[in-house]
Amino acid sequence: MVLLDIKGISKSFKELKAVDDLSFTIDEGEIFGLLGPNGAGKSTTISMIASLLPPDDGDIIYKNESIMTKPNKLQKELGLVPQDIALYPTLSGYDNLKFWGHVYGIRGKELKNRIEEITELIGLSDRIKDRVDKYSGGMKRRLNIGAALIHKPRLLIMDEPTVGIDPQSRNHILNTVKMLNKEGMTIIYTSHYMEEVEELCDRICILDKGKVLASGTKLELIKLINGRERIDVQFELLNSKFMEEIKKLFYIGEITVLDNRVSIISENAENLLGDLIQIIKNSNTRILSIDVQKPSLETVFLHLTGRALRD
Amino acid sequence: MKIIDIVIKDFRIALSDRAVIIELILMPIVLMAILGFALTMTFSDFSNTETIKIAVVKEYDIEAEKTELLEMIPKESNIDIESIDFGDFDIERIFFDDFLGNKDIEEIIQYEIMTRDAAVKKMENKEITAIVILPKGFIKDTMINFGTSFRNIVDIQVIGRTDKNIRTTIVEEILKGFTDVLNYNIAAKNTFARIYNHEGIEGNIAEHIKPLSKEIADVLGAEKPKLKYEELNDRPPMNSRAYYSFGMTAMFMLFAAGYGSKFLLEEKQMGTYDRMSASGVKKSTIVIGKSATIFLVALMQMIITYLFSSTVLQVKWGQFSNLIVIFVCSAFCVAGLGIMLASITYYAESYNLANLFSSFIIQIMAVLGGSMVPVEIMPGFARMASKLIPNGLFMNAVMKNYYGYGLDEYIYSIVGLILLGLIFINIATFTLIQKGRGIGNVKHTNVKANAV
Ligand SMILES: Nc1ncnc2c1ncn2[C@@H]1O[C@H](COP(=O)(O)OP(=O)(O)O)[C@@H](O)[C@H]1O
Ligand SMILES: [Mg+2]
Repeated sequence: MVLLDIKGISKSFKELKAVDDLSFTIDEGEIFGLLGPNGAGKSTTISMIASLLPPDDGDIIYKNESIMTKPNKLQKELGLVPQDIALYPTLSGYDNLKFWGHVYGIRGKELKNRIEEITELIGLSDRIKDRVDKYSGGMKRRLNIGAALIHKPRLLIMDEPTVGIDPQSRNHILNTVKMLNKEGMTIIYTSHYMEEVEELCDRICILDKGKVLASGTKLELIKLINGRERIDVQFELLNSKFMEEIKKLFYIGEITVLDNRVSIISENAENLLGDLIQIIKNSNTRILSIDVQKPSLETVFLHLTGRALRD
Repeated sequence: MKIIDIVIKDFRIALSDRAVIIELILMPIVLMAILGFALTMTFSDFSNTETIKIAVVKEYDIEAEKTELLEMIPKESNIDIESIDFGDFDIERIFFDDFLGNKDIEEIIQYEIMTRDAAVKKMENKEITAIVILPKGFIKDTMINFGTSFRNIVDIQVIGRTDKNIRTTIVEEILKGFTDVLNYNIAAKNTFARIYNHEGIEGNIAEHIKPLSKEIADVLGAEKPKLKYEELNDRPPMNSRAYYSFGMTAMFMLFAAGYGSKFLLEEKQMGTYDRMSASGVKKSTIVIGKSATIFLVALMQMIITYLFSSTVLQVKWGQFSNLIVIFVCSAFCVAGLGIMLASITYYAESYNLANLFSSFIIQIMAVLGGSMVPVEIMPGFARMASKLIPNGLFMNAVMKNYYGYGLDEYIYSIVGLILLGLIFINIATFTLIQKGRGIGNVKHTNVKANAV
């Protein structure tokens, strides 16, 4: 069942088209990934879904009703995890959760139980009475998620929930997302880390410059690059002789250069590796590493845009 | 319900910040104690400079009463009728020129002679504070008291306004001073006369009355009625502890507005504003909640400074129920000021105005409003300005209340506070609506969360 239907929404900031005629649908019970580099328009899209920004164009339908006319229905069932931590730093974690509970009209015993459950879920039981500004970045991120869960939302939108945190907190968050989904929660997961999106999401939409580049399941997306593999070569100092030679190979797909790093996409990786080593020898240059990459969303993005996902 | 949740949350945030507690609560208390004890200048000279306007009604008929008086004197009396010189002992002249015309009294009371009806009308219009009625027989009876051994009661009546405030009491007290001196001299004269009679000395009493009449004027002149009124109703004269308790409360309530001026932009930048919006909380609910918080912070400040100064510094603030009215109206005005500053700060997306207000504008307002030195000794423009700023209006109201005036005597301050508050709220609303129109152009602070 389609829970949320995004129909051709656009949003401009003065000259800049941050979101450009964007459409996708979210099915009940899935984890939907919005993948794209910084500035792709992910947060702007989410702001429009959360009624924080009015779209210039298009419509957003939640359960067969436009949120332009009836924002309340979605607002009540939406849990929003903003990209930047939105908490009161001088209050305790407990008081933060309590306030957001009140905002959703949860009170008394029910609220107390809910706070306990969430505290457990986000693994903050021993620190929940401390002030938030005493928390580590990872703890703040986890509480930021907890605050969005207080009212048991039907749809959870997470905007880059793992930016800038330690691996342990990241794993905790990813596991939490899986668990919530297993319990039936629909989740929109936004990230510019393709590993996370690959691991979590049933369906993925790749966004760049406000437009959909591609969308589908992970397998569907990887099919786009026809099972081609990618080899990354890190040079000590890249020279032009190497570049000339490598371009002569007939089976080469795209070549991307970033500083002294060269990414080559090819359908024939075994041949490529042998030829590559030969060319390196001939071109009198030293390399630091050679990486043979399995087909991934990173490769898909590179294929689609000629740019790396991460800057 | 959500407004209350927002207020409770903001109140907790305020109390969780030590700097806020120090700035809003501790500073005024410490300053009022230090200034109150360090600067023991006397405030009584400029404590009350307004004159009281009264009407005097003459119900006596001076010519008829003089004639009546002369006819009353029996032929066989030893009083020499011819020698009674009304010019020398003229009670009317003593009352109007020597007494009400006395320089010290003139500073406090201004009188106008009129009919009873005219006086009552003026009183109804609140143009005058009291009516003094010199009764029928005032001249005759006073003269009898002085000229004979009879005692006729002379009853000068003072009609005050129904709300009987301190001004009426002042008029009563001053007139009582007059009749006291009169009675004292009559008593002295009677003793004097009795001695004359007893000794059988033929004499002209009127001759001895002459110096007495001078004495009345002298005693009245020497007496400072001001001192008297300051002691009325247990009202102490203004002292520095009381003055700075009021002054610091007036000044620091502005800091509550300064604190509130960052409320909206801060909430926006913390992301909690959007988070509330996303959950369906209306913008107006957030703004009203913030205003209510500033209101409560200001009210709490006033109550704490009140409790501290009245217990530790022994300052008597005056009538309590009126004080509550002043506090509530002032807190309303401060809340308006705070939310106006907050709206402009939010609109400008910069804390410049908020910072300028707390670091500089408050100081100027404090001086203009009389928190440092009394407004009365400042130049005219400052006295004018003090009537246009919240702390100046607060100061005026609270001082009047201290002196025991009724609410009606400073009603313009109360109305002023409410009006100012409403104006501030209107500006805030207008500013926020303007901001709402241009929402697409809000600069986005995309903070990258990096280090843990
Ligand atoms: N409020 C705003 N005002 C002006 N430009 C904005 C605003 N919000 C976002 N942008 C711009 O729109 C583009 C998309 O931003 P955003 O949606 O935050 O991207 P993402 O979340 O994918 O990193 C960026 O170029 C960003 O600078
Ligand atoms: Mg973003």
